[in-house]
Amino acid sequence: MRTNRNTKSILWMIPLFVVFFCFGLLLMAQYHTHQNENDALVNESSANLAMIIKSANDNKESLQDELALLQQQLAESEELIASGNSLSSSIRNRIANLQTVTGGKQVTGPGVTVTITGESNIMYYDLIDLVNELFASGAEAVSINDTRFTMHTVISEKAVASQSGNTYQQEKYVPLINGKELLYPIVIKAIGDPSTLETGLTYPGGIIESLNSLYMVYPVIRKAENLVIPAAEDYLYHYAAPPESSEEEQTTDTR
Amino acid sequence: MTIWLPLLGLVVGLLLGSIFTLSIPIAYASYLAVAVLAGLDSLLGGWRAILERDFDGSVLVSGFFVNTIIAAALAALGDMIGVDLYLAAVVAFGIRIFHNIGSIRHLLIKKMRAKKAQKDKRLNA
Repeated sequence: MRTNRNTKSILWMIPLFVVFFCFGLLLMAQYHTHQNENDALVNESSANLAMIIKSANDNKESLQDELALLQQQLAESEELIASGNSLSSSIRNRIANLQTVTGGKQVTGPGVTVTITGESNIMYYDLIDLVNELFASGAEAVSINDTRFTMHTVISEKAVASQSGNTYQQEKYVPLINGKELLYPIVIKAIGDPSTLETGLTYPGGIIESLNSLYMVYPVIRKAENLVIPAAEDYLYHYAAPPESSEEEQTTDTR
Repeated sequence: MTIWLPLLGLVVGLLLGSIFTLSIPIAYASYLAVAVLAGLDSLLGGWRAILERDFDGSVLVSGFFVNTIIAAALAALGDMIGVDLYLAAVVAFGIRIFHNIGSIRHLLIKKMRAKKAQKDKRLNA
């Protein structure tokens, strides 16, 4: 009897339990919704709104400061990158300059040509003197018969038997450049300021005058607007190498 | 002991509701508020029915769900047609809630007096 009543009372409680449970859920849902609604700006009092605006403004200001800082950093970084670019471009320029010096690249520019015809009695040291004088007059690139004159260029001579039918073996000396015989006419091209180069050769008592008067060599000097001087053949270094440790030092030096 | 079971249901409901932070879009907040009022009204009606020994589980459950849903639906309809039926529901359910609470109060006082009278009777006897 009693258990029956108990079970009955429990059964009786189940709808209540369900309803209470659902009511609890509803209540909490409404509570949270209301909280969200309270958080919405529409429902704030004007004083609160003023506070919110003020704090938002403060926040905005601090963010703007941060933005300015970051933009400054960005500008600095860009500057760094740009200076890196200019560094590499200056290195490239330097390499180009060095290649004009070493003859690594074909160069063009105004200058003079010195032409020596076959009948002249020129000796190899006359050629050396001429090239020397051209460099002394500010030539930036010199070639002889389209062989670029570099620091490895050797001008020498060799003796060949003269073709004359004479019984005496008359020897004739032909100039060589890098061991190759120079064919006439010998054309020396020099890039530089044309008039300076010309004056450097033709001034009174200069090399042309002495060649004229002493050796009866009459080189023809012509100014040219656009000379092309080819690149030198690559020279392979076997022994000389820059020390590895001083490489950094060198770069700092070149800067 | 069994009297605590519904309260346990309420506590579990509240806990679950707060754990999962149930919430609905703010646009529907007023409908839910009306639904909560309807639910509260149903609960109080159920309590009164218990005190009046006229309790019926199916009536309570059906009343609870139907009232909440109808209340929310009425509020929504009011929004649609531009009549604040929401307010009507709030007023109606508010009156009903106060009415139910009044009845419960009366019944409780009556019960207490009856108990006291019984006690006095027993003492006199």
